[in-house]
Amino acid sequence: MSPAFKFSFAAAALAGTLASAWPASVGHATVATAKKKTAAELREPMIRQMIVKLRNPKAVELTHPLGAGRVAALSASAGVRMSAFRPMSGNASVLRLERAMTLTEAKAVAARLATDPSVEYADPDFPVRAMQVLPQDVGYTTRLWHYYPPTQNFTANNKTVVAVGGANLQNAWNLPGASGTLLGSRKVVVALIDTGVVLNHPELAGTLLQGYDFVSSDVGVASGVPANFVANDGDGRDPDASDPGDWVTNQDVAAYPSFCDGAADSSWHGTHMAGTIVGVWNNGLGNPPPPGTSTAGIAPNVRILPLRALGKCGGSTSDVIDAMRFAVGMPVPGASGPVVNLTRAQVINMSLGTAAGDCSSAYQRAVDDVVANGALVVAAAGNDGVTGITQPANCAGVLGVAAHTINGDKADYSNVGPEVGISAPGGGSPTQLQSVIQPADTAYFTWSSVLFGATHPTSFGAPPNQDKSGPAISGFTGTSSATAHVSAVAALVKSVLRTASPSQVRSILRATARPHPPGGFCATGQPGAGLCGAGLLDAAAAVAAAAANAPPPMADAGPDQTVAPGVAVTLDGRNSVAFNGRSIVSYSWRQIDNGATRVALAGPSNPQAGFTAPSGNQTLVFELTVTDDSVPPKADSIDVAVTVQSPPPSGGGGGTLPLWQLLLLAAFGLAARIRSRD
Amino acid sequence: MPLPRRLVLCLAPGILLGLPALSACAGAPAAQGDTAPPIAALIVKPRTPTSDPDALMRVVRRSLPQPAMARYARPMSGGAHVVYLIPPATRAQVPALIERLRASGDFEYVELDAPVKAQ
Repeated sequence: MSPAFKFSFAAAALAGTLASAWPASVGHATVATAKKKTAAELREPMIRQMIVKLRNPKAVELTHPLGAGRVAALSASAGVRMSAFRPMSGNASVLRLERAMTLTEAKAVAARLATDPSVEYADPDFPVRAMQVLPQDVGYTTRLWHYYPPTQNFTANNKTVVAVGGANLQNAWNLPGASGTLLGSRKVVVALIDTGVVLNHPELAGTLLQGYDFVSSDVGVASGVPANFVANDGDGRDPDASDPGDWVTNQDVAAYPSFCDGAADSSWHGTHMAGTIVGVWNNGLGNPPPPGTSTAGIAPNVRILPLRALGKCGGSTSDVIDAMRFAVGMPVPGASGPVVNLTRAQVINMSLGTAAGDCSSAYQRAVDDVVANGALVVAAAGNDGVTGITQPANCAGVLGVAAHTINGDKADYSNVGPEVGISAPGGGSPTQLQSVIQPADTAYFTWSSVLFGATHPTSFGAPPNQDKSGPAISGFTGTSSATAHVSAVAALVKSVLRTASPSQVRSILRATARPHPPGGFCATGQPGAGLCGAGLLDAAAAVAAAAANAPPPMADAGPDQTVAPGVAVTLDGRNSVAFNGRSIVSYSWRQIDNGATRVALAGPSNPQAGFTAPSGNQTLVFELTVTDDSVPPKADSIDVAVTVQSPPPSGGGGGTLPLWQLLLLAAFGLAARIRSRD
Repeated sequence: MPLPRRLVLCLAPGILLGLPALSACAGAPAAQGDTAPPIAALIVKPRTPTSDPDALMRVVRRSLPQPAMARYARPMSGGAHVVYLIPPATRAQVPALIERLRASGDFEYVELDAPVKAQ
């Protein structure tokens, strides 16, 4: 750890302990900080403190915060009110400015202070952060061009191209003016209506809520397929949203030609979308990395509500619509009576489509219902390469998503139409601009998590992966993947600005989109002008626009934990983030009374708190409240659950592992499969 | 494909005695338990909300021209239901049957429960 980083951490911890002293010094009426920062201001570092070294300090001033008289005199010289904060090394002192100011402003203050005869030097106290935080998973540099800034080169297959079509995540995660890394809030839920997900995929660990399987037994019977053929799990609706596989054989196609398009291995489509949205960071370390872990998600701290509505050869509109309403907490017929979801989604990802045609009344009513309940619907425009997009992307109030390639041109397969709201990375071949990228190249695809299995989750892969099973990563092209990118960025926007309505989130994403590249199919004056949405998805611009609305901080208490009795448990709120040049100045931990054993919290006002896990299997819930230095202060709270669980007794025979885990352990290296659309 | 025996028995009094008699057997186990493959699944939302499949099917059937038939499938969210059109209608007749249901004025909407594909 570098000295600079140590300093940053120490300062944050001290700020927490001194928080109770702050209201008196920041609460006076002259502190007018509600003004929104301009874009230019947001690009500059925001300075909150000054380092001042006195020429002849008193002894007490070397070991204690400066006294009121000294601070008043220095404030007069500085032309800005300051308050004492703490002494520091080198016989200097740290003073806090009455408000955050740009580096330019702070340098002017320092210059005025330097003219004070009692001052040896004065400097802005730069906020020190680690270098920009990026996923360390090896796939970030070797595959995930679709997250890159639009000016960054991507090199693979001995070809280097500028990722013009990248979603520009780097400056979204490292949002200027934010006090920490923005990876999303656990309060934000993205409902994923898809094929289900692989619940134990390592890329999705800790991100999944209890979902539901909405595939009815009778899907497709009107097309001649037998009951439960589509469901492929032996029954209709049930609470198990896991993906049993959706492989289709040649015999299936021959038997049900009006329902099944073609033979295919299991797609693990929902898992791919989930990995794009929430894929775990930094689990793909090692040489080689653990199989299937070398990718990363866009918003790894938000949570996925997996809702299965697609199976073999697809699904039905009625099941999809029920999943939509379930996502926002509306009652829906379940396996045996109505079911209600208690973890409401704010974003609904629909990387699916019903054949082109006007938005049906059934779809439109469902969209209206979920929007009224606070969820943004993000839906794929479809992969037919035509003008005219699929339902529900063409419904009013839905953010329909077209796909573009690494050079930013519309992907040749992407549907377009006036209802498209935005374009996002989907890979593939460009429609109009020349490209050196060929279908075998890494940059042709968008990459995320899947399984090797060609049929069941525990099955082996198709050649050349016939000896592999378990987690893998895979390249997809399609408006599905583009949709997942938009949903994930919408979740980041919602994490920053949780009061934003679905239409506001939609507006932010569209207003901050980058223009379609000149000469491309969608550019002004070209055939697709007006048919590809507002432009190319730009995550950095979108979250910056959200942050410009002076949002409250984002509390982060870390993931839920499962621990054994008697162990020391650390609750960690250090990843909480304040926005718009603000800092988090207080942390408050408390245990929620849910009937569990009460524990004594150490450091309840610190960024990290701790306790010793009590005996007995139980779940303890804690609430973290963080407050920033806005005037008046803004706060945010979040719960974290700690489940105390006695380890199973260890017997002489040892435990057994599921087959797929054994195969996972036996797998070597990272073998990625390449697939075209779906 | 021959009509299922119990459905034929149900249909006969309808033809002879008119719609009320047909309605009377609409919710009979014969219709519910029929295994004839449907030719289309529809999403229908009645203007008068109901959770009673029999009541819904009475409304559906009175709007269908003979000999078209329908069978209740399952409830949906939002006050809608899935119903099947079953033989002796043909697939080519489905759009006209949907239009007929819409034109009845008994439904807020009638839509084909169309297939959905991952994209």
